[in-house]
Amino acid sequence: MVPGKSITSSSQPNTAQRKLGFKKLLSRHVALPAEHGAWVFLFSPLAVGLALGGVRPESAALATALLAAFLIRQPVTIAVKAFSGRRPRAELAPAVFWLSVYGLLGLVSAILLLVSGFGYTLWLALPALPVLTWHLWLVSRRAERRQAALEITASGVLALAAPAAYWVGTSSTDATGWLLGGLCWLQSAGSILYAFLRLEQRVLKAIPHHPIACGWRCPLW
Amino acid sequence: MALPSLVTNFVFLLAVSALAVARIVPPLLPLAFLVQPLEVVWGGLFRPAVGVKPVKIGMRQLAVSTVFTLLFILLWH
Repeated sequence: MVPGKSITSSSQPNTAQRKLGFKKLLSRHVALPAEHGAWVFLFSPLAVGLALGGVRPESAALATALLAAFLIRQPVTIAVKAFSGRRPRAELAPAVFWLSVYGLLGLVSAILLLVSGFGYTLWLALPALPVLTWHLWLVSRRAERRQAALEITASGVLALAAPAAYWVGTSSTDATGWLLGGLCWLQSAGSILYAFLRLEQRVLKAIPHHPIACGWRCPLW
Repeated sequence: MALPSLVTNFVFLLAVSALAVARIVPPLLPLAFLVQPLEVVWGGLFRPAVGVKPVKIGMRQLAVSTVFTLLFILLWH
């Protein structure tokens, strides 16, 4: 013990380190997806299903389960990146933290849905497993960017939020739910293709000539 | 990429229109599916995103998707 120094001074760096450690656990880039546009592929079908099917208390459990399933992809992706050397190993801890948070939220919501008689909606989550596996495999190979087929397939999985919300609202498994999901998927697929077009256009050196002046080749930009 | 995007979105519009004619979906629902093809025509032919930041592209598409969602809900009833 150093004279003049209080006994508590040796604990202050530990407190600061703990605060820093906790702050790192709450890392935003681990908790939330980087692709901001992906949110609409979940919320649009969910909004359609809730608006057309009606809202009941169990709809909150469904929405929470959907959100947890949607968000869990990010910490899992970070964990795969950490294991494959694309991210520092130090990001494993926040990844496990958020995985646990979302996993727990999803589990509680799923139990609530089961108990309230809407457990059949959980079957709609099954297609997400092979799609997530596909995504993580691409992540491990550093090839997950600009994969139109993957993004369109994933948007189809997210569009299942529409039938899920519709069925919970109507307490049925009406075929209209499937129709809503399919229609939402059409919009999502079309918007993904368009987004890819816009991202390709970014690298053009200049705005091309007027389409009428440049003729039939213009649609091929 | 413009042609596939254009063709695909118009094919989707035609498909929904066919469903409306067959009375499987409400008759005005195709109007909601007109929003994206119009945006593709605008962005694919008249205002390519030369030098535009990805965030701006994303925000515009978010606006289009929001308009679609609201129209879908309104026109379904």
